Amino acid sequence: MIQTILDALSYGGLYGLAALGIGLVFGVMRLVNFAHGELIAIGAYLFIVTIDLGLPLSILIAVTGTAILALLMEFSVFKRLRLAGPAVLLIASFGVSVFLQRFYEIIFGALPLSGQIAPWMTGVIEFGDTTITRGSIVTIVLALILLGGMWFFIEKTTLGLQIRAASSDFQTARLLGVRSNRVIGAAFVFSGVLAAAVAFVLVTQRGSVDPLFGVNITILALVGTVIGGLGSLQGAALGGFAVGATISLLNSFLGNYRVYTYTWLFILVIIVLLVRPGGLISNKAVKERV
Amino acid sequence: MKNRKTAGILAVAASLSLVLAGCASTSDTADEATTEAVAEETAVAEETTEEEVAAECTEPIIVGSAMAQTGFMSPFDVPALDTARIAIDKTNAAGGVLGCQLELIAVDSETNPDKAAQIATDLISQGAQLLLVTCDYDVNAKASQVAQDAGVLVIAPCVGDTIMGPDAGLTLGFSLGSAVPGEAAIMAEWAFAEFGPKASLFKDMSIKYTQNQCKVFEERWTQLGGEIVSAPEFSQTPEGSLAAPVTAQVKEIKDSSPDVVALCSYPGGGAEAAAALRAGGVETPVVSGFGMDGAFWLGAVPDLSDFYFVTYASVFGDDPNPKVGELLASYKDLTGSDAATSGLVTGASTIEAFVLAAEQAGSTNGADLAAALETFNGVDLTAGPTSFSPELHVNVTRPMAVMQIQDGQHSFIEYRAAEQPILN
Repeated sequence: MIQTILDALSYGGLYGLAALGIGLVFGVMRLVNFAHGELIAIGAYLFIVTIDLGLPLSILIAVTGTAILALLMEFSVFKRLRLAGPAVLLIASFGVSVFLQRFYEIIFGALPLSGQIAPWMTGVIEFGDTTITRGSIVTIVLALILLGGMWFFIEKTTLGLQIRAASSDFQTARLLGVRSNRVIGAAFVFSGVLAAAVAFVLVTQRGSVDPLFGVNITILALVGTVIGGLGSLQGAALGGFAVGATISLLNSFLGNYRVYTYTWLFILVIIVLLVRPGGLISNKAVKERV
Repeated sequence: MKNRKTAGILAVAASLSLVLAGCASTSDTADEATTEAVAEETAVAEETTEEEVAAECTEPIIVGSAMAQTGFMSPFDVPALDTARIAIDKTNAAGGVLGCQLELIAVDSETNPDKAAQIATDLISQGAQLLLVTCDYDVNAKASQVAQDAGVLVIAPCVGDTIMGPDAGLTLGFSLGSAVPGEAAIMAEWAFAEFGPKASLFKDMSIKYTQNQCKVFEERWTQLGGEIVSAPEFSQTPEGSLAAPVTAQVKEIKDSSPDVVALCSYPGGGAEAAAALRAGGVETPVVSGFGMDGAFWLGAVPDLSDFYFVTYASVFGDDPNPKVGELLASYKDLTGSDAATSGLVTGASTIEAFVLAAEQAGSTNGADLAAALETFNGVDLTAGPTSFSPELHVNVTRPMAVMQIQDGQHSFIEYRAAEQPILN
């Protein structure tokens, strides 16, 4: 039972981080970035190919590389589409996503690259009949640190305040002197950093990375941002957490009916959206536009 | 081929008539003249024969491929397609088939069933007389049906499901793969003999291949007198990773104290599951199938030991079959890299089977080729002895390699055929 709860918390934390990364970018520019999965994938690739340099250097390279790719996406594609509508941005992000998947396939091959980047995270700790995986404890701690750090940044720093202002009402924030490109660029960088954190946990769990590495978690994290309330950063983190924790709990409680985990998950998603169409924490500005 | 025979007969007839005419003459001069005439006529007839053969083969026999060069099937399809290319070059160097050269036209179907069907239509309209399709029936079904409707032989080099053939209405559809009824029976028979009567099934419910693998294993295991002590399930996302943690399943296996765990899966989720077993303290031997072939996933479980799998051949340099060694060397020359998994032997065997069937049938007509293939009984191909029947267009009795991984190193144990394949 304890392991079930820890699994739920760690899965929830992981999906919360992924959803927050997506929510940050959506908040400031109304972009549902499907290519976030490819940021997670490049982070994982960088971890695997640089782990021989030692974990600290590997983390530095992976985080920096992922943030740089996020900025590249912004400068090369999305910045040129500032005046475009959300539908155009969505399709553009699909294009970036597919392009990067193919690019990874060319560079790294279609077969997975495998490796252990943090062997100390694998294995179990046993207390009598209770088994706890080290990975789930590390993931929970990492998620708490990063979510806490993001909360501090968003709530207590000037740039964070500007991101919150832009998320709430981008036009008014601009009129009040918020530098839009700087805010959007910052959102992409932090989105990249969070993607690298998700990549670290995922690649430690899976031990391998392939071109489609980040697709599944990105889709589920997007569902999380919708449940949490589009445009709300707290909502995104909460929604992501809810999706991850629900998957984990369903997997434990459904026993050999686990194949229906996603069926039940999406039934619950539909119920939540029927009861609260704006999500758990709805953003007034987004609601008015809708 | 028929034209060539006809021309030959005409040439002989012309010669004979002239010889007979010469015999009627009593003049030496006339005899010499007649002999010259015969020689001339024979030469003309031979030239005609060669011209006609050349005319027959001005357009080579087209082998069309709608296999996946990108997408999730590409790790299986691309090596098989590469070895098909090697076998085609080898065939052409040896004079071709029915006097004609083979020409491969490969278009990437991107693991997309609809795109594969469009490509199949296009290739057949270009004259393809053999269509190669992707190594998964769910993905190749539409393209295979296009070939079936057009009367063209269609081969999926490494489909491991008996559905590839008459079961799916594909009288012209074959696979050079070794199907699950044999593969999983070998897993059960070998593991039962080595480890004992209590087995756990670790069932990946994501695709039919892995579901059938555990189903056949369970049936053969209980036939042998063994007991299944636990059978937890898991699933992978379409992108190939665990859909949810398997901590609870690993604990269930551990608590049931099996002698061996049958892991019915494929990487990456299969590698994650193997890692979770070891991380969760399950040190029991694990037996798996072709899905877990290759070393590319081993980084996820460094220093893995007591892991066994049944596959086509060894790509680790210790396979006793010289044909396999030769093919692996050619593959490295062509691609510059070592083979990732042994499924590639089926690509070369596809072409070998086509050549033998065409020579036997004397034609490249789909129905004639299918009839010839159905007579195969232990035909020696690179993939091993190959048999088909009118009911079964996939192999279930072919010997397969039993491999082991100890301390992260692969090695070959033995070739072994199923004593009792489990056919539904």
